[in-house]
Formats: sequence, C-alpha cells, structure tokens
Amino acid sequence: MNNTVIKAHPIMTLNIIKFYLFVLIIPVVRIIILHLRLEKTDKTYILETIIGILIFLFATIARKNIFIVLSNEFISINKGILIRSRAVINKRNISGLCIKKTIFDKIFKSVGCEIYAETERNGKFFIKLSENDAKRLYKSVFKEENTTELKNSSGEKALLAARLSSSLAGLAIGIATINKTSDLLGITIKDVSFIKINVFPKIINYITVILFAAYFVSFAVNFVICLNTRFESSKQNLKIKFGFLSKKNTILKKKKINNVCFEQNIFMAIIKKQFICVFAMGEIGSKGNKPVLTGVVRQGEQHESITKEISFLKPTEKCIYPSKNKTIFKRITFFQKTIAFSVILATIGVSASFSRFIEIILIFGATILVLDLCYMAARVLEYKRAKVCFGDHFYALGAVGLKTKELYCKKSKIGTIKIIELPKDKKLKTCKIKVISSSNTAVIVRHLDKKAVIKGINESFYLNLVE
Amino acid sequence: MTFILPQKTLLLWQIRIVFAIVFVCVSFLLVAGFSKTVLFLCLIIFIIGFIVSFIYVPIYFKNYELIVEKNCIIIKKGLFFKATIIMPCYNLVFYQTFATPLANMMNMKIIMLKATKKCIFIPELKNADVESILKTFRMKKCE
Repeated sequence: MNNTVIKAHPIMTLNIIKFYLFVLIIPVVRIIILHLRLEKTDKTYILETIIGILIFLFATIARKNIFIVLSNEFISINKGILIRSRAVINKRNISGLCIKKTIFDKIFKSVGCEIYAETERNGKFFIKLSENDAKRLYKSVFKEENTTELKNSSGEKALLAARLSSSLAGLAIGIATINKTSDLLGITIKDVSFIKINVFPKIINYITVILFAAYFVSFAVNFVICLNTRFESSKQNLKIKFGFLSKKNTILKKKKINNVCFEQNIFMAIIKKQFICVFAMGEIGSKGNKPVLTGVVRQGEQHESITKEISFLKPTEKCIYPSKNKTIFKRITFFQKTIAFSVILATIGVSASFSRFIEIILIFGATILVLDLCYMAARVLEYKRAKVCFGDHFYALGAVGLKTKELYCKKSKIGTIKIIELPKDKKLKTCKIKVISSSNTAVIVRHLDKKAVIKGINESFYLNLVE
Repeated sequence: MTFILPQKTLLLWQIRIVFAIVFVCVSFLLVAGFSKTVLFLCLIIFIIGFIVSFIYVPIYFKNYELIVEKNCIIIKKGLFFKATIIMPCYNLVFYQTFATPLANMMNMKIIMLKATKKCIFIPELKNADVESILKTFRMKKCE
C-alpha cells in the first residue's frame, strides 16, 4: 500500500477558531450587521475585526497544514504552521477510534475523528474529515468483519440508565427544566406536599424534592441515550454507537481491553442480573476511569459475543476461597449485629430524652438500621461467593461497599496488590487483599487463608514472600 | 534488596510533627486568646502529638520495609493494620525523587513510584540507598 494522504475537511477551520468565537467572531459579526443596518461603526470594533480576520486566516492556513498520512504500518498525523508537529503511531498501538457526527457535520458531509493511541496522556488526536476519508481511515486501521449486535431489553436499558444517573448530573442538565416545569404546572417546590414528613426542616424537604427531580431528569436523559445505544461485537473489535441528534461511534480493539468487571448490587442480586463494565487501555479508557462499555447480563453468564476473543476471562489457576468456619462467619456478622444493637439502643435512649424530635430520631435510626442490614447481607453474600485466582489470568470475586465485584484481567494488568492483616486476622491466620487493576478498578476479597494467598502470589509473581 | 528506614528519617518526622504541634497551638492561642478551654484543647493536641511522634511513628517506621525484587516492589508497613503492598514492575510508569530543605540537609530523599494509576510514596531514605534503588530500576533488573 502506497502512502495515502488525507486532508482535514474545511469545517476544521471552525473547529480551530471555536475558542475565539465568543470573544472575537460574534462581536465582529454583530458590528458588520450593525454597520449594514445603521451605517455607523464603533472604532473599537475595527481592531476586533482586523484581529478576527487574522485569526480566520491563521485558522485556514492551520487547517490546510493538518493532514494524515496512511501507510502499511503507520499513521502519521501532521499539523502546525510555524512549529510543525508530526505524530507517528504504529497501527498496532491504536486502541480505538471515535467518529462523531453532529447536525453541522450532516450538512457539510463531514465527521469528527478521534484517534486514540495506547498511552495514558497526550494519546488523543482529533481531526475533522470528509465522510469518505473517515471510511478510508477506518478501513486502514480496522479489518472489516461480521458483527453481532448485543441486545438489551428495555428493562435492562432502564437498569443501565439508573446506574449511569446521578442527581448532580441531573441538576447540571435540568435545573432550568425543573424550574420551568414546576411553573407550568402551577406549583412551586414549597407546594410539593407529597412528602408528608413534616419533622424535617423545610429546607431538607425542598432539597430532597430537587434532588429527586434532578435524578429523574438524569435518568430520563440516560434512558433516551441507552435506548439509542447499540453495541456490536466482531471477532477483534467492539463497536459502541450512540446518540440521538448527533451520533457517536466508538470502535475499540478487543486486544486493548485492560480488564472486564462484573458488578452487582443487592437489588440486582435479587433479580439475578449483573452489570458488565469493559475498561480499555490508553486515553480511550481514561476518562475519569469510566468503562468504555457498560451493559447488563444475566448472573453467571458471560456475554459470549463480547468475551469470545478475550482470553483472560478464563482463569488459569485454581482459586483460593475464604476459610469456611463458624468463627469467621460469626466475625462477619458480629460487627454488623453490634452496630444494629447499638443503633436500636441509641434510638430508644435518644427518643426518650428528646421526645419532641421522636419522628426525626426514628427516621434516622431506621435508615441506619436498614443500611447496616444491607451491609450485613452484602458481607454474607460476599463470604459465600468470594474467591481469587492468581496466575496468568487473574480473577477475583469480592466486594466494595454494597457492591459485589468480579474482576478479570491479565496478570500484567494488575496495578497493585495490597495484603491487609487486622489484629483479629492474626489469630485466625487470615487476611484480606485489595487488588487494583491498571484501570483503577478495585476489588477487596476478605477472610482468605494467608498462607494460600502468599503461596499464590509467590508462584504467580516469582517472589519469596514470607508470612 | 531490602531497605529499612534510617534513624534519621524518624528524627526528621519527629521534628516535623513537633513543629506542626507548636505551630497549631501557638496560632490557636493567638487567635482564640488565653482561656481555660483553649489551654485544655492545646493540651489535648500536645498529648496526641506526643503519642504520634514518640510512640506511633517510631513503631510504624520500625515496621516499614521496602523490598526490591526481580519483578516486583514490595512495601511492608503498618502498626495495628499490617499491610503488604506488591507493585509489579511492568506497571511502574515512572519514579521521581524529591527532598525538602531539611531532608536535603540530612542527605535524604523521598521516592515517589507512579504505577499506571496509583502513586506510592516511600518516606525519606539515605541518598546512597535511593541511588541504589534507582540504579536497580535503571539497569532494568526490575522488569
């Protein structure tokens, strides 16, 4: 294959000047309109007009100097006017490609391409290309293969949306909408009296209503996104397509997957479902340590089409299980039982002393008790299922907080292993381990036999750790 | 190779803690004025500081051990909660050394090991020890 040169689409010029848009370009456009309508010019705008024109010229020249050279093995991305830069990436080191298409792009038949190299920083390159050039780039990096669509039901998509939603995100997106809707419905937050608990200060009621509404907005937005999200899997790649008005396609090489994590909370355990989170290498996977793919699968079922080519999903060594004896089981429940007992006693004591605030005290007491019981249930569930397998393919099933987590990764993708020994562990000869993968996914496995853990680590990492 | 923290590190941290306690107590007294409550709070801070600097820190540092193996870096530490941190070398992105003026005067340096997404600080070690650890990394014994 000869070297092919792909030039940036003219719309890239707008992309370069978008930082100056509000400072220079919009005021200049305004003055031109004013000049045309009223035939008078403010002198301050003349300087801005000159700078605006210069920036536009600069952006046009800069855009003309942006191009990609495709060769058999490498992709080189060139840019710059005075200081020319050239990034040469081996195609093997490209972890993924993201193609974005906004409404503007649809009009101008362009797409925005983000090329992700396999590094944590400075590994993302953005360029606007024409649709045909983007296809050429895609074909040069990824092989055309048959794909299978991974289907999730609407209920599963709702679960996924609930996992991705947060009140904070909802507030950012929809505070104006919440305000406007309440105006249109003729109610203000003060009138929302469906919360009949009048023991809390009013401000807490208002905050609760706002947070609930914000979560609902976030959930609605995420649900629409999830409805429009499609996952496709081929032998070597994973494709994630989503977007309503502006579309975003992310293609990821399966080889570049760092680790796969299955998560389950208590509610999901009841309905026997799990979230599958796929973490990737390099900048494509480093956005706040978020997974590049999140889906819902049935408990114990590895989605075959995703996992087909991911070798590390099959542990190679024998697993180590928590020591099963009554003393440890008592130890697990002892702490939570003590908390539950103390909370009941404290609630009775405090409500007897401050009878005026009995409702608020009971609510707080009940909340802590429910949380404590949930935590106890999670610990018992974890104790029954927990295991860890050292070896070339690492596997750990443990828990973090109220979530049960299963982590699969290659041995080389383990960031750190922490062996923690509490005073009680010394007597029982047990320990807990915290494993952090290189994508920052953490799993804690408790009550493991220390001797077996050290033996496993020594064999896996060729060490001579002593107990 | 096994490294333990030198006696100088303990002295350095004791100086730091004592300075911090004196600074907190003096600023507290200057801001809140001399009263029984303030003096009582200062006394509590002083006792906590004393326990930390002359009881907790010496035992913690005594239990601190750094082992540089062929393909892993192992850190053993902890007083009540014993912890062993194992960091495989292939995930060591970079390492950095730095020294505060006081540590510099004592010919000591801190090493910061940056794994893919986790950072581990090793308290002050003698310059010679630091050099020998870094030499091990540079000579790619740790790979």
